[in-house]
Amino acid sequence: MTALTATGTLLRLNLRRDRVLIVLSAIAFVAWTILVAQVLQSLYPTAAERAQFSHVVAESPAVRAIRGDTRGLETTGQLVAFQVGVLFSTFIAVVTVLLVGRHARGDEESGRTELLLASVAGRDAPLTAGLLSALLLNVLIGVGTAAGLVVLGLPIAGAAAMGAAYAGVGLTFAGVAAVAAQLAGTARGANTLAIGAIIAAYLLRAAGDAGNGTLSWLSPIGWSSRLRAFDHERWWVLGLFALTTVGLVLAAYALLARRDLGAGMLPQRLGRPQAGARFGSPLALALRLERAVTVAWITGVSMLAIVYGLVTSSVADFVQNPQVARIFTQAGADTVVDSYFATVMLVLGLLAGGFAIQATLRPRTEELAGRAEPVLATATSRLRWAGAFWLIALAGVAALLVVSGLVVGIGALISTGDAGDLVRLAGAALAQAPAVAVLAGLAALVHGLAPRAAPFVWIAFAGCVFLGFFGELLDVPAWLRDLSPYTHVPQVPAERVEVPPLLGLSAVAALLFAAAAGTLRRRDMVSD
Amino acid sequence: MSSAITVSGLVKTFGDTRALDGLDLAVATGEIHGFLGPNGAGKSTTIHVLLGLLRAQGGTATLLGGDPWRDAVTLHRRLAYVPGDVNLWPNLSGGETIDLLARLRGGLDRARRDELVGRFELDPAKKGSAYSKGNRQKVALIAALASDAELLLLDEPTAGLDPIMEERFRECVREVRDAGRTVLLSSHILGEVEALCDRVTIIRDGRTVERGSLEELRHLTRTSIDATTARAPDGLTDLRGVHGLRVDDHRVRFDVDGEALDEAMRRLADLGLRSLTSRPPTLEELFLRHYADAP
Ligand SMILES: Nc1ncnc2c1ncn2[C@@H]1O[C@H](COP(=O)(O)OP(=O)(O)O)[C@@H](O)[C@H]1O
Ligand SMILES: [Mg+2]
Repeated sequence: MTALTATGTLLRLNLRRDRVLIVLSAIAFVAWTILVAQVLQSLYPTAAERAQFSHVVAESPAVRAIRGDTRGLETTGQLVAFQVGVLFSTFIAVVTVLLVGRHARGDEESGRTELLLASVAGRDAPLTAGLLSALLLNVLIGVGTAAGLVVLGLPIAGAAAMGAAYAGVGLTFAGVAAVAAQLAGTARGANTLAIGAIIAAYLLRAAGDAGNGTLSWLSPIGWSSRLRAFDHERWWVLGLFALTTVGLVLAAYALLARRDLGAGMLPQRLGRPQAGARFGSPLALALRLERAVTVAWITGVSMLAIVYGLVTSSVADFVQNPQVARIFTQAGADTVVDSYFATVMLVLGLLAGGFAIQATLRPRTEELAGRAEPVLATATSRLRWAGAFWLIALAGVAALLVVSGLVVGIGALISTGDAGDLVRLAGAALAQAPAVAVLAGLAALVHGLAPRAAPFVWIAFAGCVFLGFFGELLDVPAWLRDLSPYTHVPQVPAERVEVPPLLGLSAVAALLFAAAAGTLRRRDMVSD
Repeated sequence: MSSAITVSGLVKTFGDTRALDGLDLAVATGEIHGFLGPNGAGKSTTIHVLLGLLRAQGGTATLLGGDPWRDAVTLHRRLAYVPGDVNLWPNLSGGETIDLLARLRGGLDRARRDELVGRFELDPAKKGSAYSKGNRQKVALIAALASDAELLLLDEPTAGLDPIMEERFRECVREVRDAGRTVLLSSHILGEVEALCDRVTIIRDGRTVERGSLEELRHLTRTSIDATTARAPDGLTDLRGVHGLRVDDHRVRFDVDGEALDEAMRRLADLGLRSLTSRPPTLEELFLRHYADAP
């Protein structure tokens, strides 16, 4: 038996469990890219229109911080690469990291790996099979994207570079996830570490692109735009991806050979031999389990929020630019800054939605992992058990929105010296809360009805993200846009706070949670 | 004699699988009741129904005088449960987990808890992710045994314990019984049930096939004998209670019923014993023998 024995069997097993995830995410990323390309083609059909567009955006450090390098925006291909390149490679990195983490570490935790290693599989087999799943996902995305763009009539070299950039970022972070899986003591720890690396890479790139660009070279997400798809491609950048990926993967195997099954390289600290005096309620348990991950989310989103805040003055300057000012003739600079803030609030709301779904699905994770059973065998009702997680999730959402809104305000204060935005922005962020609560309620209801259907909540969330970023740009029909709770949130601070839609969203959220409580009480508990 | 658990005609299906197919089970207050069956027989499913985690499709179940589904929360104050597959929170220490589960049940007897931690030689400061299977099992056992519950539901609780710890476990269970409390002990190991239980229910494919005291079930326990004798081992064929006799020169192998063991040993000794191994039958063998052709 070699270290790799049974990799093939495991890969088949992984693929059976992951095929929906792999196929759906590949389709989603390819379809989004093609859709955006198609729309940009029809929106800016002539070189003159494209030039005007690039004139507007190229000057703005704020835009560069969010979307990436604005250099060369003359062809449709370049516009596509600019609009979605950075954003999607980041999303692809997240999906890849979760995929690798699940196999390289999650299975180990659930005892599945122990079982396999004890029977037939070699020691390296789970990691290898996980990496091969990631490779498959990224090859599908890369080839699909390239093929789709070529079919749309874009240049072959650029299309290939675009696909390669996606796959390059994805695979680099597959390597990051493989290393994180060896370092951390738990599956969650490994995912947190790897996602943290993605956030860091995104921020380095944002800082670099807003400034002179040097910092972007330190970030794999930055490399994706440095490859310059559709703009005299710099193919050698692919070497950076390849070298980094190979290096990380080799490091992961080396670490794997040195660690014990079920343990990480980073030392496991001992816990307290007795519980603290107040650790004895479902709420205390939920708080304890969610504390670290909530703080991690708040920190990550705040890091993004400070970047958004810091570029406020350049948004204002940008409007002073005579050429731009002509476009915004009737709107004053204040209004433009406020609609910038409103967009930032939507981004914060969407991020809070991701957090809310993850946190509300925590009881589902507990149930499937067999950790609900011992709690529900005590004098704890299902509603008290799940409700505790719901409360912690909603409180976490409120904290995430208020803190990140404040941080945008602090960034703006540093940037413009105007302290008036602090409270206003915290409040504006909080206006997203009812929409976020609707997503949380949906997650709770799906868990109540059928815990195995949870992926559909993420699909619904992907729909909201899509409508949020591209709904107007792509001219999506109003009824479809109305399906997203975010559509109904007033665009504070650009618009006035409207109470009725916020109350309506809150009522929908309350109904969803009530229905979740009802369904959860009626069904069988399940576990993997 | 009042009854702690009464189950009759219980049916539970998962899609096409009939996990429970008219199961009967009666546990009297104050006894240690063995719940025996090969893997997949439906032991865990029954216990999950008794805990209100699953809802049966047919039959009736009464637990401590209440309905396990409807009265789950109030009933759970009076019982403690050890799952067959213990899953702990990776970031909570064993000690915290024990205390949490005890408090969620209704209270913690600190002295008894600490005594049990010592008896099972558990390091309560380790995190859940750092425990082996046996140690995870100990955490769940201590949490259950430290309680003052009237009824203990133990689902294959010794899988993963070493023999010394298994012995400690048996002591603890006997103490529980001596205190007048009730234990339902599911197992697929005949020896464990024989060592502890007053009465036994044997199930297979979701149905009850035998129930009664161990005495009554003695006919089920056959011992496998493998012996070498000095003289040719003739004259065993006519012996009552001997089954599957095979003679190879001076080596003889057979299974013998419990009540005929004494006579068989006498005959073997008369032939001049050179070597002897005897082995109690495994539950699987028992099932193959007794129920292989049952419907
Ligand atoms: N959630 C489930 N879904 C489908 N089948 C199940 C489920 N739980 C148990 N089963 C099936 O029901 C039967 C009884 O299982 P179980 O009660 O776990 O047996 P035991 O505990 O005696 O080993 C088995 O055939 C098992 O595969
Ligand atoms: Mg079982």
